[in-house]
Amino acid sequence: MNCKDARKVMQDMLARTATAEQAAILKGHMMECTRCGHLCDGLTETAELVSRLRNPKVSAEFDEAFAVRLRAAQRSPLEAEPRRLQVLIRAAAAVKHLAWPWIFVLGASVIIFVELQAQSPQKIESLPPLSKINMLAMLAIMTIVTAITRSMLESDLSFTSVFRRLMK
Amino acid sequence: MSELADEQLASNAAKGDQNAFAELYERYKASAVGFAHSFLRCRSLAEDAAQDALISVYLNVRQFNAEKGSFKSWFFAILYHRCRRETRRGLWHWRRSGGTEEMAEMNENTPRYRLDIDTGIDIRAALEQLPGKHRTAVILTRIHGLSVRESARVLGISENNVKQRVFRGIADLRNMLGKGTSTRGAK
Repeated sequence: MNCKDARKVMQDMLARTATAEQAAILKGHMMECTRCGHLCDGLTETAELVSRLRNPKVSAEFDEAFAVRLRAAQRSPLEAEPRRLQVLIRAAAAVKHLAWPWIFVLGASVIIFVELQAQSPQKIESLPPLSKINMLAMLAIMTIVTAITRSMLESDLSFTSVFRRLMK
Repeated sequence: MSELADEQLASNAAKGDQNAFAELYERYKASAVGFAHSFLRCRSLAEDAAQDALISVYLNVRQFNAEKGSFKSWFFAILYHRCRRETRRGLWHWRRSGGTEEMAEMNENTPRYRLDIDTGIDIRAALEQLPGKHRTAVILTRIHGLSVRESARVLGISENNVKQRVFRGIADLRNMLGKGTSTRGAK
């Protein structure tokens, strides 16, 4: 074993993954190499010091504050999240509402629209402007408004609850 | 105190056993605050992050799968990500500059390592000087007793990487505490 190998075994030793065989080989090397012996002793001693550290005591208010927050979280999982994240979650949930039924409808509409335009552009051009442009726009707006309204109305909104509801 | 393993308690908590969750809470609250404190270096933020993680456990304990790893690694992974999110938000910078108790420790006039009655050195203060990724690996494996595999799961890195970080962290601590020569360059 050379010094480089010895350091690899020391790594394993500090991670508590060294085998008895590796430890014996390292010990043999340390008898010959005082530098590695000194390093290994220092590392072991330092690791022992770190292992002796204990967690600080929690404050007296910790349990009470936790109970208050837990009650709020039980009422609504969303309330347990930071305010900024709540907005993101609501937006994401709205997209989820949007995703399953409406994206299918939107996609189908786009395909029909493109297909129709490709086959007979004059038919599209002959349509009144409102029907031509607003067909997709109205559908998109309705979709977004519905999704957002639904998400805002549901106070217990979360990714999992939305998913479960959709699965039902 | 119950003799049940964490995984069994988590399973009971998932079935709605409030006492099982209370037991897990008692077991983990101190280590959660300790870990978060070493990460965020602010007591109030650490307690917030610990509470967040414990609430997350309460709400999502059904998602815990013992086949994928221990409860401890699952819990610390949640806590670790809470702490990282808190760090990213940068709030702790603001709090620290607001003159909290931690500022006294970081003050230049304060001795870098104070003498400790038991050990003769303040290992905790030295630990705080380590780079974040080394410090986290050392704390998880040496203080909270996670295995290399569990730590790798928490940190989202390979087991070899955990070993290297622990080795480097301990080696740096040893150098800081004046216990030997430099190990820079060691692999």
